[in-house]
Amino acid sequence: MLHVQLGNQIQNVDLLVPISNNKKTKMKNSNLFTTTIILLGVLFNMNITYAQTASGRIIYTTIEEARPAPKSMNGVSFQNGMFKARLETDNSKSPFNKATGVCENWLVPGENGNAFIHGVCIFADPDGSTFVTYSSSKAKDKSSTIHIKGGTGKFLNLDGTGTSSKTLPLDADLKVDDCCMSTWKIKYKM
Amino acid sequence: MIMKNLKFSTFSFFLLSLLLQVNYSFAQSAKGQIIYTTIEEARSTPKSMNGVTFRNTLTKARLETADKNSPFNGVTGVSESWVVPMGDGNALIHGFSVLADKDGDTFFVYFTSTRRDKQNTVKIKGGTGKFMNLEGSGTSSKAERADTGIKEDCCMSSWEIKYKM
Repeated sequence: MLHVQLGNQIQNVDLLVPISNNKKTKMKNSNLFTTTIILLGVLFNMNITYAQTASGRIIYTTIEEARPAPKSMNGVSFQNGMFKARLETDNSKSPFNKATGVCENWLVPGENGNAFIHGVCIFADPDGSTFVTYSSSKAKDKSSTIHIKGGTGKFLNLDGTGTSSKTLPLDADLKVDDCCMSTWKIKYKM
Repeated sequence: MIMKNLKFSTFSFFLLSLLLQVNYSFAQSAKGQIIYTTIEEARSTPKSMNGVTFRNTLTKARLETADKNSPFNGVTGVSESWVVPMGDGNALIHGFSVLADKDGDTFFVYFTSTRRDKQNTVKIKGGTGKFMNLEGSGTSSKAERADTGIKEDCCMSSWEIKYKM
């Protein structure tokens, strides 16, 4: 063994490694491999579990008595308003299609014309099964990150996340009393 | 073999770092109480509208922290909670607060939980002034009767957060 040259016949050198050492190395590799798989599993857990997708638009209708108005109270200034809302999905068979409900938006003035916006909506489908969505963003963000959570009935275990566009002007097919709309796309499980 | 082990170790370390990044970056902590004061004209009443039933309540709020030097000590603001019945006495709750310190610097707190959860997972976000880059998360207890001795204080909960700013 002493005459084996370095760099020559690696396979032979490998064979000279005592069996116990070889086992230890394999065990170490196996442990590291398992750890890596577990960590990867945890990291991608969200994407694996949020297997379903939905997209569409949300249309807001002004509630006259709850029009957004600037307020100042207990040291803070804000503007909050309540709207009726309805969902239209790109896939008409989506469980979220034609859900209706109520949304409240909070707008808190920020620096340099930016503002913090927080929105919460409660929706129910025609069966009365309910779910909640909420989002937080700044006025200058291009989109909002939304969260969707169940709920009752078919939405009991609903959990998901996605994005929604900033409020857009109304499409031509919408009603006169509809104030505004935004598009949205989510990944969810239920 | 050594190279393979090294690669596995590096990769595992990288993944661990990613996983623990949130805890590393939220290096500061704070805890205390949030006390809610009833606003008579915004008392909670059940509503039914556009297919959904809910109850929303607006209250004044103030924070008291265990560490009197905390930037969150003595801040005041407004909170709104939404309660949506889920049946069997359970309900989905969403809470949102806008708070400002004496300098007028603002930040926001929000959570979503169910009535049966033992505690709420809260998110805290800036904001303006010193709270501009504030970001953190933590827990708050369920609201309980306030023991402040002030008649208008309706309820309170204790909270604990990790944050960066």
